[in-house]
Amino acid sequence: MPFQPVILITDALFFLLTAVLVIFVLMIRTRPHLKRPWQKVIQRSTGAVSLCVLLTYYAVALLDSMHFHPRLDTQVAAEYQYANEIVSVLDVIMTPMRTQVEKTFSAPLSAYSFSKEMIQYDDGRVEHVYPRLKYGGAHLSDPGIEKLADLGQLLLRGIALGLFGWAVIMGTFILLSTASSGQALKHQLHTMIKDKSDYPIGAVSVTLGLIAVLIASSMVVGSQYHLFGTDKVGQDVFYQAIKSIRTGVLIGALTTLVMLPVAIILGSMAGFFRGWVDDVIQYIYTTLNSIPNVLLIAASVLLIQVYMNNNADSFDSLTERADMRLLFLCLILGITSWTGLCRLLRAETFKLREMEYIQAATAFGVSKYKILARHIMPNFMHIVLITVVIDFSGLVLAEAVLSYINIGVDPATNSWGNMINQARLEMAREPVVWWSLSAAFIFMFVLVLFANLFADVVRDALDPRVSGSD
Amino acid sequence: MISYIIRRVLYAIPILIGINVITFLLFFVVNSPDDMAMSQLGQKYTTEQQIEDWKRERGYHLPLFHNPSVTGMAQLQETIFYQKSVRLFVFDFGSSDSGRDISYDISQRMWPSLAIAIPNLLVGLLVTISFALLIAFFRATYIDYWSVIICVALMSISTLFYIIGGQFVVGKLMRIVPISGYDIGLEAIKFLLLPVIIGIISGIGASTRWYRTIFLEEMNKDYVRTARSKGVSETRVMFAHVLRNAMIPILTGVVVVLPLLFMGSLLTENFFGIPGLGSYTIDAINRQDFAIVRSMVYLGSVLYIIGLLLTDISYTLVDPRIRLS
Amino acid sequence: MNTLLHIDNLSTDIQLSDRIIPAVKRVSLQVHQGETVALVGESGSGKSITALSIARLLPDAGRVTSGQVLLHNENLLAKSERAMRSIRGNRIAMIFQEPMTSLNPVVKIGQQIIESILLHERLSKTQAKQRCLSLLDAVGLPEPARNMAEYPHQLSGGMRQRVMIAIALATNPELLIADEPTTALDVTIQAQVLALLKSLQEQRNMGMIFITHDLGVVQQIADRVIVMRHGEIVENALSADFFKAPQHAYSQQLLNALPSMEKRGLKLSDHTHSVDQQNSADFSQQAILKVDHLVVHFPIKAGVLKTTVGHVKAVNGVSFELNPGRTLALVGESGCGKTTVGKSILQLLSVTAGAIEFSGDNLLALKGEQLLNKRRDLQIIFQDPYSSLNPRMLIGDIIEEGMIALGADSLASERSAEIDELLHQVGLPEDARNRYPHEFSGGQRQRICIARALAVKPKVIICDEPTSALDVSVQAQVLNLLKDLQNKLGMSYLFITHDMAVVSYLADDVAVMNEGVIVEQGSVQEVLTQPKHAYTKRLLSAVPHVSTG
Repeated sequence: MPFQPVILITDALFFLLTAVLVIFVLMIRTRPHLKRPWQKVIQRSTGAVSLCVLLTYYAVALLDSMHFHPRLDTQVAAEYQYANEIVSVLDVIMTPMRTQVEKTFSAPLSAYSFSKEMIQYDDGRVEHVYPRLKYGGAHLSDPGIEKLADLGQLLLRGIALGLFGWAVIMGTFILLSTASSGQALKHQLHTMIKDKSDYPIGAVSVTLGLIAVLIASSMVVGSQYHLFGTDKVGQDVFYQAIKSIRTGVLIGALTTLVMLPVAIILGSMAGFFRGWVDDVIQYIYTTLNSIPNVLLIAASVLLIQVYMNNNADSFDSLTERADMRLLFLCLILGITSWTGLCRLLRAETFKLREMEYIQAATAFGVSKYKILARHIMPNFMHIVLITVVIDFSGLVLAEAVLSYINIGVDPATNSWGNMINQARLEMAREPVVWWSLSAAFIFMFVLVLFANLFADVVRDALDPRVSGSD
Repeated sequence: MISYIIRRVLYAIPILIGINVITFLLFFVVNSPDDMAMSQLGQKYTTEQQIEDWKRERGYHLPLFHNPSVTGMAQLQETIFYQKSVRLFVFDFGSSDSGRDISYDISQRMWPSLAIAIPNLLVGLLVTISFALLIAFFRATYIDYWSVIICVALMSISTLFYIIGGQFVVGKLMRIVPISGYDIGLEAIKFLLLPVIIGIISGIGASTRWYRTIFLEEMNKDYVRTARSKGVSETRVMFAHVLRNAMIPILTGVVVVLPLLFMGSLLTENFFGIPGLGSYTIDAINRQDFAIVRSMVYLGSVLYIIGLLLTDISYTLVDPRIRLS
Repeated sequence: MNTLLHIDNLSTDIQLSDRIIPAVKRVSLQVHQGETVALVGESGSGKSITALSIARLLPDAGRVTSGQVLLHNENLLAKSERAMRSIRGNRIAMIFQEPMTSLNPVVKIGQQIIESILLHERLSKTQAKQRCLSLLDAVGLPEPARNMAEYPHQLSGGMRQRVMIAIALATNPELLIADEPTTALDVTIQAQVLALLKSLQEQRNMGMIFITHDLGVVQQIADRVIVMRHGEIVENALSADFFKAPQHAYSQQLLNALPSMEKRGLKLSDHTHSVDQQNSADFSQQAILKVDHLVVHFPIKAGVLKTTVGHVKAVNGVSFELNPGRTLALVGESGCGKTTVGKSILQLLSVTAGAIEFSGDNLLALKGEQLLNKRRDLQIIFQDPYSSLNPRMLIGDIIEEGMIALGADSLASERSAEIDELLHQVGLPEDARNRYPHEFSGGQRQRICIARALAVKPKVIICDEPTSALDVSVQAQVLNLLKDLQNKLGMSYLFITHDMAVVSYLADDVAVMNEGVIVEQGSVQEVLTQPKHAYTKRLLSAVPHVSTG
């Protein structure tokens, strides 16, 4: 085999989550009452566009979660040798950005280093100059003259590639939708061009086009230049920002996976059984809730740090160690965030159990657990979904803050919080090193903004109080 | 009313015990004091003796629950649980791992925290409520639509960027106020100005949007229609009827965080070098000073519980429908 | 007579997110001084939107698209919002349906009335206060001086509606628009409020637009009747003429759909078919359900340790018997404990004392398996057709649930055939089983509930206000169905209701409840025509009765 797959624990959970999502989508397709609100979500252009952007982030995170040991060229006996390092599919796609490491800072798209160095020429002359970068624009003989033209050319190539990719996607989409709707291709095209469809096809195709062009051109330009410059140790900042996507998405998504079962089970039990069950569950979440979140997280992370320091041998690699810490962070965030949902679900169950269809079921002698599973849980699922979507963006923001105060992910993990943390000291430099911060800012802002917009649309569509649907 | 308050205070006791147990478990059982010592001293090349000294200096050498080496009540008292956890009940925080008196530090550092938090809260409330009222007034127009989008965009920006950006633009480019530091008395104002303004701006998006929702919810109620049918003007409807009802959830939402203002803001204080409880906590976390973190956890929880109680009481003051019993 | 209000060709649209609903279509009508015009129609007929259009108080989504509203020849629709404000509450006053939510909950009653006075008249605060006191006195509040300083939640529903009237009359309006002002009230309170409105209107010679769905109320209060349907006026006639000989087919249908004593044994709204009145009930047979001194108390908790300090005596010693194939009506106003009786028979809440005997066994003593066996024979139909069906389940699954829970032995294919049969029986299309509740109207949902109850072949069905949330024509259909089913299947009904007309039409026996006890019971003829207890008499005299022909 050309590689040896590695599945980290967070990878496994992330795949599990993906599987759950796929099953969920397949399930609602067959149930009209579940399908209707989601149709409403993607019929609104804000919803459809946000979903496109979020799915792009998700796809990047997914690619970055497929890890493996690459095969080495050396071969001992008949056995292949595999490298010790763990890389992901995304790393392979971004190989140039991953491997082209400069010495230190360099500005975005620059061909020169950011700081002057002593260079000794062959003739013994010593000069204090900005040296050329090892990789960034290295193919140019005189960057001052050629760079703009070269960049323009690369950009055009990228745009062309992006448009081609976009055309392929749109073509497949049109063919598929034609096939499924059973209409003639001509008619289908007519609806789409005249914008007569129920769905915001115009907005979606523009978004997809933009995404395709952005990806393609940044890949093309990024293979020859450092799109967002390099950091203190010469790492490509664009690469770091992209790698951070996995951390952000994972924290937002896995935390939910951790907290959902607890919140759903405890919340519905407290609301349904009342009495001492309710008292105990209320006590648990009031107690947990009263500890300030940041402090509880800080305390737990500190303790994990201590544990990991003292048991450093039990981790095979740095990657695994960082992965464990990421998982712990998700767990802890899950523990601090289930209480809100639990309280909401308790109150909703309280209301639902007085509904007459529940009394009718009781009059039939249907057992309590069946009533919980069939009558109560399906009827508060919209609250769960709304909370999950709303919490997602909050968790992404929380990761940055926690990493900034050193109680977030492992310093070795790529994350926006770590990028900000490392870059913030450089703000004091003259001239300012602004690119690391900007890159982290842009990538995080886009994710959180579209997650928030999506959450708004989802709440409008799913909340019966807002939309008037059941 | 009084019997209600008594009951709530009684109810707080098991919660405080629960918090105490959780912190005890987290700090002394999940990781033993030996682990802490090793981690503090660096695990390689530390001798048994060094660890033992470290523990003895900080009182971590005692057994967890039961001390067989002494007699009588001391068997229970000469333990980590009694010394470190039970004493928290009477707000005896002891001394930090670096030997300073925590209670004294807290009493000194809470004032700078309050100096930022109170103006931040009050001015912030005034600004966001005004914005939200304005947006609600223009409901279902493009002004409303775009204001909400702007709010969502504002709340999508991490607090870190507000602080870094604000510090950079105001402090460095414009050179109006010092970037960080603190002073006592009136001199403090110039140090507080920037953190307070940034604190308010970073909260505008989320709060405005939330208050707008509350206002709109109130505006759809029947009594608003009654008021309009009396010939009340739209401005008066907003201020005399809607605002009066909407202030109930808004105020009670504020009351719950009031006590927590003492704790200060971790990020703001850390960035601006303000010697409040927030930066105290962050420093403790970074130095891995468990004694301080433990004390802050407990203090924060107590303040939160007080906040809950105050919320309930404030409900009875602002909402005539609620009588506590 | 002097024309006060002239509505000419008024049309109003409601803009929903995906479509536009024409709520009012080219409506024209006139109101004279001192005249009461009743705007009658079923839900969705556009009667409330018409009223809101007059005062220009439409919700944000509503828009008047054409027409004029002339108040003494001034077109209200052409006025500026500012000018309109001096008319609202001053020359046109309004009263709304929900007394519980229509008053500002955090403002004292006195202030809410004074606000209206001071907006339109130049009075000093003391003068306004004086006016307020006399208004509260005029609308019949017991202690005006104290009531002024109270908040709305401290008053009962009827009292709050009186306060609403006081606000409306604060400034001698020429036109009063009352939108279902008594719908949320009990009949005895309704009678008082109607009498009050009528007398105040006569004193002040106001024009009044009275919006209601209740034809009994119309006959009591209106000079002129305007019937609306789907946003259009279908009939406009003097009240006397209307009840004597309604012209439009829809009006006739509405009147025929009203249940009453005279229509016993006839299909409502459809005089041609008579139902076999004498059902097969055998009086010598033993009672199937016997409730004996039933007591249900709910504890009131207070104090530091939440100890029980007293009890709400919801049901306080109720006894009655229900015979096979008969219908017993349990009648009373809200809060009298009638629903609690129904629920305790089904063991949906815990009984404090007494016995419930069902075909010889004491239900309260049964547990587990035995209780499950009895549940098969006892079923319930609820009031609210929206909350009584799980929105996330298919109709087929809803009906099947009880069959599975109570009779696990039957085969899936048998059950499927049975569901088809049941749907047919209650008059629903066969494909209904694969659809979800939201696709059905209120009346259809109530049919589904009936099918669900019938699925386990019960001997007794407890009907808890099954028709009070329905429009009168739909109510007629459901009552017809219940009657048919009883004749065919011979079940007994315990019919819980507040509606005397339904009782007189449907029930064989009646028990009148007040404050947790039965004050009078007997056959329908006896109790309704010769009531003995004072409460029954008061109740019966308060019911607005429609007399036709």
